[in-house]
This record gives sequence, C-alpha cells and structure tokens, in this order.
Amino acid sequence: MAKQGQRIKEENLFKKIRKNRIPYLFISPFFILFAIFMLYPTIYSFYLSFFKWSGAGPKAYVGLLNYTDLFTNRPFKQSLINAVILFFEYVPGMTLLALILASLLNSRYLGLQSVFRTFIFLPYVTAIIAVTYAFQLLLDKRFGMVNLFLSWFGIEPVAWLNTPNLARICLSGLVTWRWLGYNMVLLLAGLQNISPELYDAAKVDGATPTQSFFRITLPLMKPMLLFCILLSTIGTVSLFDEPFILFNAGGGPRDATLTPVLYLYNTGFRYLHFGSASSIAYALFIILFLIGLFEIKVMGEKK
Amino acid sequence: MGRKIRMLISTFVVANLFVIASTGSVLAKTTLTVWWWQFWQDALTPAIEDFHQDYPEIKIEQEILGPSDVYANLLLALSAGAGIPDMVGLESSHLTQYVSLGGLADITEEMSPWYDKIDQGKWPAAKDKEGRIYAMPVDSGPVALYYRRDVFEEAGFPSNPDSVQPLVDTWDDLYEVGKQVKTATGKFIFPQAKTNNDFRIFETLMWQQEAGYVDREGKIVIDSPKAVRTLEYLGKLWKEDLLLDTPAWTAGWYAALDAGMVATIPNAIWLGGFLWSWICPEASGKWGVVPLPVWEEDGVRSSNDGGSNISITKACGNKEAAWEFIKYIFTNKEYLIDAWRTADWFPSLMACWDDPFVDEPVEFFGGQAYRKIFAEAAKVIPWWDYTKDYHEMNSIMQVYVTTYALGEIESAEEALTKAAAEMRTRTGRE
Repeated sequence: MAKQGQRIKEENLFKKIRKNRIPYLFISPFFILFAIFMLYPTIYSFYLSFFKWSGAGPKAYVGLLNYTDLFTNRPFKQSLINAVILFFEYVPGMTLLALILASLLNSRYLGLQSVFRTFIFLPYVTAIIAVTYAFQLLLDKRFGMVNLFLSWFGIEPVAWLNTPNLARICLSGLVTWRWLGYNMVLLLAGLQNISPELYDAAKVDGATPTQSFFRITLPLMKPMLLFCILLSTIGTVSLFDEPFILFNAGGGPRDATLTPVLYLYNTGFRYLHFGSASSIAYALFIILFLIGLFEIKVMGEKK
Repeated sequence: MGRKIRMLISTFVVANLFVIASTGSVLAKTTLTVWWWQFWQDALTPAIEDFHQDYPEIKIEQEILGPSDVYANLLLALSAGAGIPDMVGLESSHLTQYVSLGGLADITEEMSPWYDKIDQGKWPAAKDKEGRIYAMPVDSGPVALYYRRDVFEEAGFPSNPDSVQPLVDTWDDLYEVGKQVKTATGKFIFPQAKTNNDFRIFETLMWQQEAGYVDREGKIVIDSPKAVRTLEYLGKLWKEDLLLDTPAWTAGWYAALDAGMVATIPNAIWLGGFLWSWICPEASGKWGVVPLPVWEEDGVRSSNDGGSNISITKACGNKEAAWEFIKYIFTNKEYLIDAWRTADWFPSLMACWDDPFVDEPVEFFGGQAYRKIFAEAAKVIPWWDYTKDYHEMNSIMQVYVTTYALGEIESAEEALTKAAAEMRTRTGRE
C-alpha cells in the first residue's frame, strides 16, 4: 500500500515536471551556469588536491601529501591564527554595535532614520579599492592624517600598518567600518519582525527600555545574530581584498594579516602550487564546517 | 534558357572570385596578438608603425594589460589551452615560472646569432634546465646610486658627481655619510621599510655580490656569509634610524622622494625615468648619479633590478612571423635607443651601450651624462637566477627580514638561517 503510494507520488512528480517544463526551461540557465562555474570547479579542485600541479602541463599524483603537509606549513598555520585573532578583534564589537544601531534605528524616538541608515550602509557599497587606498593614506606613519591628529595631543607618530599587532587592528577597524552597515541592515530586518505589541505589553508591566532590550530583543534576535556571526566567521577566513590592497599584495608585517584565503591565492596563483591550494580550500571547508556546527550548537535555539 | 545558364555561370564565376580574393587576403595577412603593458606601447609605437609598413602582410595587435594581469591571464589561458596570445612580454622575475609551465616556444636556434650580443645577466631567467632559450631579453635594470644634490649640500657635502663618488666609495662610507646627513638635516640616507615590502634593495645589494636565493646548482644559499653581511648592514642602519621606514610605491615613498627626505637611493635605471616623468618632475636639477659603493676593495660597482623579455608562445599560429617581428624591433639599435630616450628603457642589446646617446647630458640630473654610469654598470652585472620559486622565496624572506628589522630576532644570521630552512621545505630545494 505504502509502496504503491510512493509510486503514484513519483509518477505525479514526473508528470508535474513534464507539465511545468517551460518554467523549468526558464530557470535552467542558473542551474547550467551553477554547474559549470561552481559545481564543476568544486569537484575538480577536490580531485586536484591529491595532485601536484603547476597550472599547466602534467599532474603528479601525491595522495594525501598536500593535506599532511598543511600540518607543518608555517604560513598556513599563521593564517589560521590570524583569522582567529581577527575574528575576536572585530566580530563581537561589530555585531554588538550593529545591534545597538539597528535598535536605535528601529525605535520610534529617532528622526531621519533613512538618512542614518544610508550613511551607515554607504561604506558597504563603496568601491573597496578606493576605501582601502584611503585607509592606507590615513594610516601612513609619516604623512597620514591619523598621526597628524594624534600629534596635536603630543603623541609620537605610530607605525600603524608596520607593526604586526597594530596592522591587524587596523585591518579589523577597516573591516568593521565596511561591514557594520551590512550587519546592521540584516539585524534591522530581524528587529522589524518582532511584534511591537511585546514591547507595549512589557511597558505596561513596568519594564525599562534596557530590560526590554535584554529580555525581549536579545532572545528573539538570537537566530538573526547567529546568522550574522556565521557570515562573519566565513567572511574572516575568506577576507581578501582588504589585506591584499592595504599591505601591497603581501601578508602584512611578518605575515600578520595573511588571511587563509589570501594564502590560498598566493599558493595557487603566485607560487603555482595548485594541488596544495586546493587542499587548503578543502581544509578550510572542513574547519569552517566544524566551527559553524559549534556556533549553531552554542547559539542555536533548543527544541 | 541560355540566358539563365549564362547568368548562373557568371554568378558562379563572380562568387568564386570573391572566395578566392577573400581566402587570398586571409593567407596573406597574418595577425599576431601580443600581451604586454603600457610601457611597451609607449616605447615602441614608432617601431611598430615601421614594422607594419615593411611587413604589410603581418598585423600586430597589442593588448595592453597591467603586468599582473598579463601573468594571471596567461596562466589561465595556458591551463585552459585557449585564448593564448602569440607573443607576450614577461618580466625576468616572472619569466622562469612560465618557462617551467611549458607554454613558451623554444627559440634557441633563432637566438643563437644574438646570444653573445645581449646582456649575459639575462640568460638564467630565459633558460630551462636543459639550457634551451625561451625569451628574447629586451631591457635590463643596471643599478647605480641616485643622490639628491640639495640634501648633500644641506649636510655640508660637495654635490657634483666627481666629488660625491669618493665620498660613497664603499657601503661603509655611505653609512658615515648617512650619519652626517641625519645629524645635519634629520633626513635619511635611503628608503628601505622594515615591513610591508618585497625588500628589493636587500635583493639588489645581494645581487651586487653574486649572493642571492640560490647558487648556480639551484641550492638555497640565502644564509650565505655575504647575505648575512648585507642584512647586518641594513640592520645597523635601521637601528640608528638612518633608513626611511616607508614601503616603496606608496604615497609616503613618492612624497619622500619628491620632498628630498632621502639623500640617496640605490636603484635601477628605470627609476630615473619615473623620477622625471611622474614622481618628482619639479625636482629637475636636484638629482645626480654615481656608481654603486662597493662591499670590498675591487668589488663590482653594479647590480640589477628588474628587466623584461619577449616570448613567443607555443600556441602561436605563425612562429616565423612572430620571430620576424621580434628580430625587427628588439635587435634594432635605433628603435631600442628611441625607447631608451622616451621611456628610460635600458636595452639588453649590448650594441646600444656604447652609442653616443649615452654621453648626452640630461638636464634633470643637473646636466650629468648619467646614462653612461648605467651603461658601464650593465657590463659587469653579476650572475643571478630568479628561478621559478622566486615569489615564494621572496615572501618567506620578507617574513624573516621583517622579524629581524623589528628586533624580534637579534641576529641577521639566525633570521636568514630560518628563512633558508623554510625555503628548503617549501620549495624542495637543497
């Protein structure tokens, strides 16, 4: 009985597909492009990760060597350390700030909301090349405006981009500045889904705005915050444009701003070790997958 | 009926004529694409016009890309096996990578009459392991010491080249000058940042002593005594704050060269062109050039930085035509000297080095015939091999030299020993 039901269902499915073949035809370009430009490279790079290949010419099978090599690969390990440091430097602060800004913009007390929203979102849509060059100029040790400003308070010029720890902080600052608006808009969308009646009810019960923020906003925003943090985690590991331009295509002072994807790019396209670069991609995939699972477990809703 | 047949025949004949005419023109006209960057176009436009006139059946189509785009696109084209240009311009520092990829055509036979007539320092990058040649060297980057006449005067030194030269006879002399410049003017002896740069000056100074990343057998020798001595020298200058800590090719670096915040800069001949054309055109008359200081008595007063080459790809449809083009332009003294004049392109073709052109005084350099110094330096450029691992070795070197410059590793020897060890694991060299 159940089997027959299954078969009828399958037949129905095929019938439905046949019936809707024209709509399927219309959406097929996406799937064809996806298969050619995303799926195929993904599978091919998995295959490549077991070979030594310089980008052209013959490939040499090396088994798991590319993967085992990663355990002793100093720049790769350094890039992971950098990603962890960067993550803790900017993600908590940026997410919190985005939430506060979103709450302010969502509240009824603030005027000119769309103006503020636009201004905070503007860095995200500004060309990254221009932004990063501007930061490079601002932070220059000898000619930068930041040091000029500090000099008015009698502070000696600071080598912002030329000291490992400061360079990472500058990078975190740039990333925060650029991605704050994006996170804020995501969180704002979440906030607008919270029914205002909840706040009204809390108000009637005598809750202060702070109390309703911590008791209503924060718990209800958890899924949205989790989403933002997940995106930031992936974003930190795949950070590329900002460090690439800010530090003249290098990894920054003593590889302090070498992000995993920047190292992947260098390994593949500058050092021509495409097998090794592919293995880095898959190692990063596994690491991100595990971190994602962990974050969902810690922050996710309990059923 | 007869008319119809006549019509048919005449249509057929006319159509045939068209076909023949069009295939004929296809056969006669070869189009060769070449990828290179703005510099080439600027320097070679008149030469290419002449070539088109003399060889009407060959058409050169230039595709102007940034150097890094040339390399990225070429790599993609080679691995895809499609969209490969017929010829491509490559810097020496990148050439060996593409030789090892196997996408360039072997031009050993064609090059043989020119082999002895070209800067010998160019060959290691253009050859594979078997000694086959894959590129025509085009320009070289002999190095000398540029200096600011105004800064020297400010520090109480004479400023004409003849009196400056004995002042900076050795690198130790330059260090003493640097101290004096610092105390008298607060300015720096030359720019070399501690971080965020590829340490080209460090490489140039090693190149002067035939010490580099690898020796002639391809073994890693970045921890050699000569390299250690060079890094120690830079370390001493960093410690005493004699070097301008600003990475090259950033706004701060341009500003420093323009404002005369550095007294000297050991650099290649092409920098001179950059100085007068866009870095500091207003500083005309303030710059001078003297040969490089030496490391020991009778040392070589020469080094090299940069330089490019032209290659035919394996995929090239008409290698004979491509070679005709290369021979026409890059073995022609007149064209190369024109390029030198307009774009400060120092030809690798030795015949150009003794041309009266090098004795012409140049106003920007205070009326000095500064090209002569570079032409002399080019004759004695020491041996150096970039190898296909250059970029990886350079990025490893950066890390350890930065660590040393920041004082986190105390000794230059330790820094370079660590760098050498990592280079050996990463490149699989000895």
